[in-house]
Amino acid sequence: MRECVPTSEVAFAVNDVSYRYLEVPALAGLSMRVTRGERVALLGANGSGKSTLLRLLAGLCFPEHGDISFYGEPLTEQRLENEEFFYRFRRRVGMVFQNPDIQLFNPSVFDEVAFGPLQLQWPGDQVRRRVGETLDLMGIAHLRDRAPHRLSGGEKKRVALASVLVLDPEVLLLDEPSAALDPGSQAQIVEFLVSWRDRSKTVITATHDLDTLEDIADRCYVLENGAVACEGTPLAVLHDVALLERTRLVRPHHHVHREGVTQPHPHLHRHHSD
Amino acid sequence: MIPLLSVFAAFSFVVMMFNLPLPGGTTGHAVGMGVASIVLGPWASILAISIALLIQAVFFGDGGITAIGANCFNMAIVGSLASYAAYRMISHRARLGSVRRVAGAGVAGYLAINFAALCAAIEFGIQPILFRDASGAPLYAPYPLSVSIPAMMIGHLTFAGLAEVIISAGIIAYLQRTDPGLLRLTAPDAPDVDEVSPRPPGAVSWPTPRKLWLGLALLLILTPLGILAVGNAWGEWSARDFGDPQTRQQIAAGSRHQLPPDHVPQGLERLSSVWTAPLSHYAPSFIRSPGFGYFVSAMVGVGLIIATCLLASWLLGRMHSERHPDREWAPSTRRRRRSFIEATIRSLLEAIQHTLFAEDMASANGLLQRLDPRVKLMGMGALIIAAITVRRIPALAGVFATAAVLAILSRVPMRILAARIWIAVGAFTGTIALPAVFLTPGQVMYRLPVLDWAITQQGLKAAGFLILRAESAATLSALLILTTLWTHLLAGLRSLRLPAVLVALLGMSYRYMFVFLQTARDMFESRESRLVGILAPADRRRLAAATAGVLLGKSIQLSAEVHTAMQARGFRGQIRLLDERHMDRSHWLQAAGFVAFAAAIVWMGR
Repeated sequence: MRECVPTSEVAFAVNDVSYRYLEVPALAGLSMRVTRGERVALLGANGSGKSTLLRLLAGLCFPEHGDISFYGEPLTEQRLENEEFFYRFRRRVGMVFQNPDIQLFNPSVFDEVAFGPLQLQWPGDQVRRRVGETLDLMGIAHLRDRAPHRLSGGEKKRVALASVLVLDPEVLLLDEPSAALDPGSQAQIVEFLVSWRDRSKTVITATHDLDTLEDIADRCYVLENGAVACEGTPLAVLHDVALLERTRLVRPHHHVHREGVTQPHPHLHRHHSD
Repeated sequence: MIPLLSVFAAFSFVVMMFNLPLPGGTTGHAVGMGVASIVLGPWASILAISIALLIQAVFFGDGGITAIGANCFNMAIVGSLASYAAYRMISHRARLGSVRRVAGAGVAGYLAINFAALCAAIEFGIQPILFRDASGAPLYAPYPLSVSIPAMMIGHLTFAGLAEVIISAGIIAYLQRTDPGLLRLTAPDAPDVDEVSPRPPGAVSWPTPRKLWLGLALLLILTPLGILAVGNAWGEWSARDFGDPQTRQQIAAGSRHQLPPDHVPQGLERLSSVWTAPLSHYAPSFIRSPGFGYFVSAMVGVGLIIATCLLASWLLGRMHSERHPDREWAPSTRRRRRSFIEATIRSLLEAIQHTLFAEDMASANGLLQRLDPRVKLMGMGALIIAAITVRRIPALAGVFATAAVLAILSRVPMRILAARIWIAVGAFTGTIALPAVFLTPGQVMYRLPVLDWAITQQGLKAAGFLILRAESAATLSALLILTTLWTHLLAGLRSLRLPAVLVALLGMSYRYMFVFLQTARDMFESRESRLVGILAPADRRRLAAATAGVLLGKSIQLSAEVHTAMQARGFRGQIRLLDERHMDRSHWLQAAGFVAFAAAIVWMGR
């Protein structure tokens, strides 16, 4: 079906990509496609290559083999040297890192959110207006003059998100957006992502949180050892228990039955907390 | 124990840099062995003072490499033992918080420095008897006991001794109030302080040298005051001094008007070429301003002392773990011990959090808080310049009163200013200014009964002036820092045309220093939570070293990742900033108001 999509509608086309960190393979022959407006989840255990893939998509590192294109244009180091393409690409693709401490390097929340627009050389008035709007949108206007390192984990995450959303990117890359957050803050982030759905934005989320999968993605890729193990709708993936167990996204579930025998028990407990 | 030891070694080193002018044109200084032996006990104090003397001699050429043995004997050994004995005798069975301990500390400090000075005087005095060249001229120190003893002792019985009393008694009184536990190290069976509430069992109860480090930092900043006193300490002459006519006069003035021998004592000349200190006379050749050079030297010295203590602790630990592989090193204290690096990182973190991150006062609603940071920067700068340049007491008092009024209007509690600034600055400039009371020639107001020294009106005025000047400048800078949010200060610097990269760098280092120290503490805590029982010190140090390695790796990784994150948001190697706050007319008016006010004061006080 997706083969019918015209090239101009393909946000990212990843073709047989390999990448190594100092001889340790992170991606091995991975291919995928993301079309405009799609919400895609990258599932996988720790070390399966999700974060690496996001970095490649964000043009922060480049594949050893294979190629990636962004709306039909090849995404290469040489290409990004070009100033016009660099700013156009950065404007359209935003990435939220897993660790907000890495992303928040400015002395105040305002400066943090203003960093991106200033690098893209927006006029001062526009920067101020956009930053104000974004802080309101994320409900962090009251933190404006605070130092980012003095915020709580949930607040930091919202500032990190705001610092990317301020550019109003078409494509949002999220690395474990809800990791290490309390359930309240987690729900806020997920709610926000859900509310973003209508804006026909492309969202690619790396996660191993199966609870929120259906809320944040229309389609998912399951990654294993740096390659795609399976691709499908969240529902289909969540029902493939054998696959989830093999890729260590759920653990083989044991519990004691009435006879007192411990058995591997092939079913998924998703809504424990409900 | 080791971190405490290095605090006192560093403290002693810095205190010795505060030269006091003494009658007769020589200088003297306090040593700090009194307080060191009261807190650490005599043995650790001997070690601490010796380390300070060693660093002085080797790196700064102060005291001299060949005199290191004599100096250690006088100041470290005799001083520490005398002080400890006096303190124990006077404060025997006194409560930890009692006045008797403060008095004991004062007496201990006074006796310690005078015994040390006496020993030095005797060593100087017997040299001409023991060491002569073929012609009978003295080989080293030229003066006999009849000159050396009065020359050394008059200064030390008075000013230097007084400085030592103030330091010892002051620090002990301070510790009684803030951390009486530190006093318990040498008084394990003393009854407790009355009102101290027992610490909850789970609370952290490691020694807190944090405040001591802070105090040390304050001293460091004040070190340039130490070069106000010109001239050499008696007996600390170099071979060259004997040839310089002016210096010869100075030496004679301090030695009952006996001129030193015409020829440089041969032994002195020979030995003077044994070692050339890299930062001779605390004046690095690459720094022009003597005050700043002195300050940098003090910083380098403190760093070297910390390094030496680290090395010493490592060596001691190794020796002991070889001999008693299963026994803890260190005297029996009831505290849980941590490794030096760990304790240092912890106390650094706390100190930084307390000083830089205390933003409560900066966000209070007061006059200075409402001012634009640049206006504040300019205004306080103008007032500080006024405080430094005025020449009349009423004008200077006016500056000080202005600072006090600004503090009240900005809701900075007087209590905090008094505790953090006034007392500390007053005590130290006071000690330095005190000799001026006697040494300035002029109209005599009163004569001291025994010593026959005259207190002159001019002297009193000069001393009062120096103290008030220092107090005013310190209060104004404290107000600026206390009432300004760090982010606003950065913004102010930025708009005063500092390069964008520099300001961004300042901001980022401030921020990542915090993340980095937090990471370090988390690592220590997580490691500790996984440990059962107590590790041998050698293992503790190995772990600390490994942790430091991991931390270094993490910091490199952190900087790489931050760079990636910046790139992801459009960074191409050039920082762009929003020139957010323009100085508008009202800002310029405010700034002009400050400057005009300061100028008026300068004009009135010219």
